[in-house]
Amino acid sequence: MENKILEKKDLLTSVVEQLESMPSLLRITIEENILDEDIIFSLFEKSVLEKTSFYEILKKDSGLTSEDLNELVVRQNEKAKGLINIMIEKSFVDHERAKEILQSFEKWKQSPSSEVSEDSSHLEIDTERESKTEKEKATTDTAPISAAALESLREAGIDPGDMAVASEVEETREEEVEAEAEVADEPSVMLEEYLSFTNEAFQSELFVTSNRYRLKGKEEDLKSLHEAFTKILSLTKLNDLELQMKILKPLEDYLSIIMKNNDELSPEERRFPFEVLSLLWPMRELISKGKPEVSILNDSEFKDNYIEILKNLMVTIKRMS
Amino acid sequence: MKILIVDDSKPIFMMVSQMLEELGHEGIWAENGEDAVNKVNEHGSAIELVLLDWNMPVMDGLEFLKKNGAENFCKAPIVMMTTENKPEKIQEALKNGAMDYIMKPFTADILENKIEMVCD
Repeated sequence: MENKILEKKDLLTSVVEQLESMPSLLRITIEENILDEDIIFSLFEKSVLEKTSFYEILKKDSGLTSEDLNELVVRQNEKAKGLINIMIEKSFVDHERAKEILQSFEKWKQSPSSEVSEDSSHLEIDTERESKTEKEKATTDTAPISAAALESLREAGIDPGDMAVASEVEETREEEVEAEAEVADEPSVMLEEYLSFTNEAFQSELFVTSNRYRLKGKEEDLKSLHEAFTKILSLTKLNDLELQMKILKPLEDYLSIIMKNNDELSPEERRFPFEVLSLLWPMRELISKGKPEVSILNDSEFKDNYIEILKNLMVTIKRMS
Repeated sequence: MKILIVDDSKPIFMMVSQMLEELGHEGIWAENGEDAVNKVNEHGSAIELVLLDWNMPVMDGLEFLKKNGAENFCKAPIVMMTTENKPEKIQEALKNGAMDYIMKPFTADILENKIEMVCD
């Protein structure tokens, strides 16, 4: 760096780590609940078939305004680790140096030569593995440091005046981003996402929450169950896990209904989250072993149980609605 | 609050008991499920929470849960103390009347949160 605050390789290491800490736009889109899951699924499918990034498909076909889209990208970046924190964590800089970096960036930001757009969202567009849009071009052509770094610079700062470093960082980041793009939208990545999200600890905790909700009927438990099952349903849709979708969709309907009349329910009527979860885990286990979900139907006990729970759930929904 | 700690390991009882003391509670020891049945009968409703180990000689944690499910002698919520969180195991414990589980080893903070959560 110009004023020797930071070594190039340390900056690169930090930027790479920051990029790797950033969740995919697909994940953010699901989490933000901004689109119906069916729509997300079809957009994702399209991005796979057309070998286009999910961001590009969102931009073209989702009906989201550029404001919505920018908001999603902002959320995505917010979830990434702060660059300055990474640098401190890795002992590339100490707190004193960090302060200097911040001051240096503030100074740079105020200088007339600094032409970084105030709209942080377009910086993140770049992180979304895109070929440069006009807007981005305007930014990356003038900004002396990469978009990913700039995002953190906004909050933490680093001397972005060194064009040479910037181009290196940009190049590295683009390679990184391209590499990510190649794998990020593949279904196998989504499967990993599903397996990772529905891990042992998560499922065990969900069992506890479901059980506690059945016994006590607390609204906060109901809300967290609704949130968790909605996420699982989205992931099963994205992975085409038919059996799970077929039981989760009515469960979601059931949860939406009971959120309106939770106080009137008996423990018996609150049992479904626990029961459905008891079906999900064995299916998830099969999938994690590389077997198709549907092969669980060879287990006649499971099959009978599945049909029984589904039937009872449907009857309950009908009665309640 | 009187809390029954059911664990065949005395050092674990002492450790958990000390944490409970720091949190303003009193720990009572039972060294297996059978001993726990006796302690519950002895102290009755004064026991407000049971911390139950899974693997123990004489009567293990799951057997204790099943016995209680059939006889309903213990009204206090039961938290399993376990070294693994396999969903199928947790599910089995919950189905048999446990209210929650806590992974060993745990800190006083984790224990405090769990007590609040279960006794709320």
